[in-house]
Amino acid sequence: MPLSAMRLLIAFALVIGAFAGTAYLQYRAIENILQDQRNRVAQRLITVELQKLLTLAIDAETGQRGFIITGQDEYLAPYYQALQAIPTSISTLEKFLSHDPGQLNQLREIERLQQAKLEELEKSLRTRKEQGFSAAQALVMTNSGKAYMDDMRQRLTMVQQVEDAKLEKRIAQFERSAEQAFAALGVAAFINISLLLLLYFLIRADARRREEAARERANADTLLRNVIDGSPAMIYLKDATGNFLLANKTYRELVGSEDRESRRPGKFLHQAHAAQDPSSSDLDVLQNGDIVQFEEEVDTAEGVKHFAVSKAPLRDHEGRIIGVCGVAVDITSLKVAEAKITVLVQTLEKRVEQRTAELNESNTKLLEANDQLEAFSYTVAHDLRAPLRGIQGFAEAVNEDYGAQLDETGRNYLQRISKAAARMERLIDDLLSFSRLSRMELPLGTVSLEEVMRDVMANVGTLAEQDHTELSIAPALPFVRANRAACVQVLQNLITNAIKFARPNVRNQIRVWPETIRLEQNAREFVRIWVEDTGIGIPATQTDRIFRPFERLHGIDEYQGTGIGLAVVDKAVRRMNGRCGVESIEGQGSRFWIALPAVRTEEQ
Amino acid sequence: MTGEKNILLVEDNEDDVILIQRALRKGGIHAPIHLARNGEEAIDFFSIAGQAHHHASHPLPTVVLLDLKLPKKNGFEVLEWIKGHEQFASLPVVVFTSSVQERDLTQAYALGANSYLKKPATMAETTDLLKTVSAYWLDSNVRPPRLQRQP
Repeated sequence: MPLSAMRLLIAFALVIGAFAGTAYLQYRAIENILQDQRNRVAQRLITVELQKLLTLAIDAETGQRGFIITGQDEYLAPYYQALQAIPTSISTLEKFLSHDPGQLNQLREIERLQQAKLEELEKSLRTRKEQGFSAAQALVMTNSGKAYMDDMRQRLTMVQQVEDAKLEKRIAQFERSAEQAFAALGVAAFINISLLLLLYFLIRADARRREEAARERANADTLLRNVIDGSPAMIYLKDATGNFLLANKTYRELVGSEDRESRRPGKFLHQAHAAQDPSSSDLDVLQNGDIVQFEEEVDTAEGVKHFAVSKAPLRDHEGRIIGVCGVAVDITSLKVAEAKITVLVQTLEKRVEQRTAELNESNTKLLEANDQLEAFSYTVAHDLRAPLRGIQGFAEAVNEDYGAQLDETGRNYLQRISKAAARMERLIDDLLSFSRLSRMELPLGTVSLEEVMRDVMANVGTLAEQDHTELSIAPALPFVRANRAACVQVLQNLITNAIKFARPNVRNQIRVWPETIRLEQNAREFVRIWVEDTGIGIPATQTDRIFRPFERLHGIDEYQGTGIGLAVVDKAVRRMNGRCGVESIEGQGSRFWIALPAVRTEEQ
Repeated sequence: MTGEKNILLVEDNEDDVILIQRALRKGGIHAPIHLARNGEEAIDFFSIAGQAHHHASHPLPTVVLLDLKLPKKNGFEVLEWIKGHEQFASLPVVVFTSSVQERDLTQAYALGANSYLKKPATMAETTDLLKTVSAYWLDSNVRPPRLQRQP
């Protein structure tokens, strides 16, 4: 039961209770009044009856006196009347005073006195009849009859007084209870009015709530209707027999009104799932409570459109299926886009195929070119070397066999031939190794730079001892991910350069040490190896050039070399996912570095 | 078994031939040197040397110095031919070439080359190398018994 209804019920119960209470109080008050009235009437009756009793006694006496004086019987009529009436009066009084033993005793005494009086009267009457007036007169003169009368009168007065006092007391009591009744009724009236007011306010509040709720429901209905009508999807509700309960604006505009005309199944042209015509899909929903989804083509007011339809069961508050809720979303543009995409994908596939074919072709060409390059390298290696060896060999042979016959200039020329040939040989070797480095596979693995440096030192050690060179290598070089042979080549080239490009007559101090860094564009850790010398240094403008092949900063007579060493360093380091660089001050020395991906300790 | 140790030099380059001969001479190696100018000549030489009748001009060589880049038939073909003939298979063949390409090395050893030497750049080095070759293959190395001439 709702709270408001409960409150109302309680208020009503209180009101009814209050009214019942009030009625009871009223009943009590009226009864009180009636009792009071009864008391007053009883008192009046008692007074009358007492008066009557006295009057009867007086009447009897008057009759006696008249008879005594006259001796005529007609004077005795009041006496006989009193004789008859007195017992009736006594019994009437007995009834009234039956609840008061004191008064009852008094009444018995009065009755006795009455009796005695009557006996006295009878005696005097008898005396008059038998002995005459004088004897009777003497009897009356005894005054015994008067004493009876006085006593009786006194007693009657006492009874009257007691009854008066009783009545007075009762009236006071009645007035007190009447006052109380007034007060109680006043309080009851106040309570009743208050409760009625409370009831009124409760009923009014309840009525307002109902109005509010009704308004809210109406608003919610309007809102829902607006939402449904505002939806670009078609939304409709049908009952179990297929009658439309609701169809939103979109539905009405596209398919038609909710009237019978629009319900013809002929409107639906085609469905993606052939097995499900609209009615069978409705049946699925109605019988099995399934949610059915399918696509269909509908001939709408705006032409044939594609819809994605979803039908769900419509249930009442007890969960029984009472109809079908259908939502149909217009997917025409999606379908069009899908078709376009399909075409695009096909075009793209064709293009990819075409490109792949082109790529394969160019790849084949590239492979051919590579083969040609290798053939060329082979030719360079073999065919160019052969005549070179001839030049060197025969120059040497001439020098050895016929040197004595030549003058100084001739021998000098011969030497120059040998030197030129030797340089050409180195050039060919370097060129080949550089091109091999570009093409060769460089398998990467965990490489100990410690071991690499050992190999390098084995190769350049003697060179370092020849010149004024001091070579110090940091201990405990770390591990890197690289190719070991390439690492040896790279560090050997750097150290050879460091030794070679010494300042004349200055002790060249070469230091090699590692550090761990992170290159900015990459979060991965790198190991950077520095090779520092105190040699001739490189002009700041030249630092980029020196890593290109065949770049030389010095004349061939100053510093020997083919200009390929740093190009090899650059190429090899890049192929191992590393970097290299140089910091230098001309005339003071250079600091070359290579950075290679670090290998964490647990990977080693 | 023929007692005289001799060398078969398979080399097409006249300059190299002269220089190698000079180096051998300088190195004090006096074993006779026979010469084949190309691959075919080399195979012909073996064909004749392998015949039952003895030809003084075509003795079975004690060691073969084989260049790889040769006209008509290249060094690999010659090597394959020699190692493919049971009669000559155990003859020591020393490849003597200017190429140290991995491809050539792999192929030469795969075909059964006994040694692979790179032609040195200078005269002095050539002389030293040939002295070593001679000391090993002509003097130290004990030849297998199957190197008998076919009857």
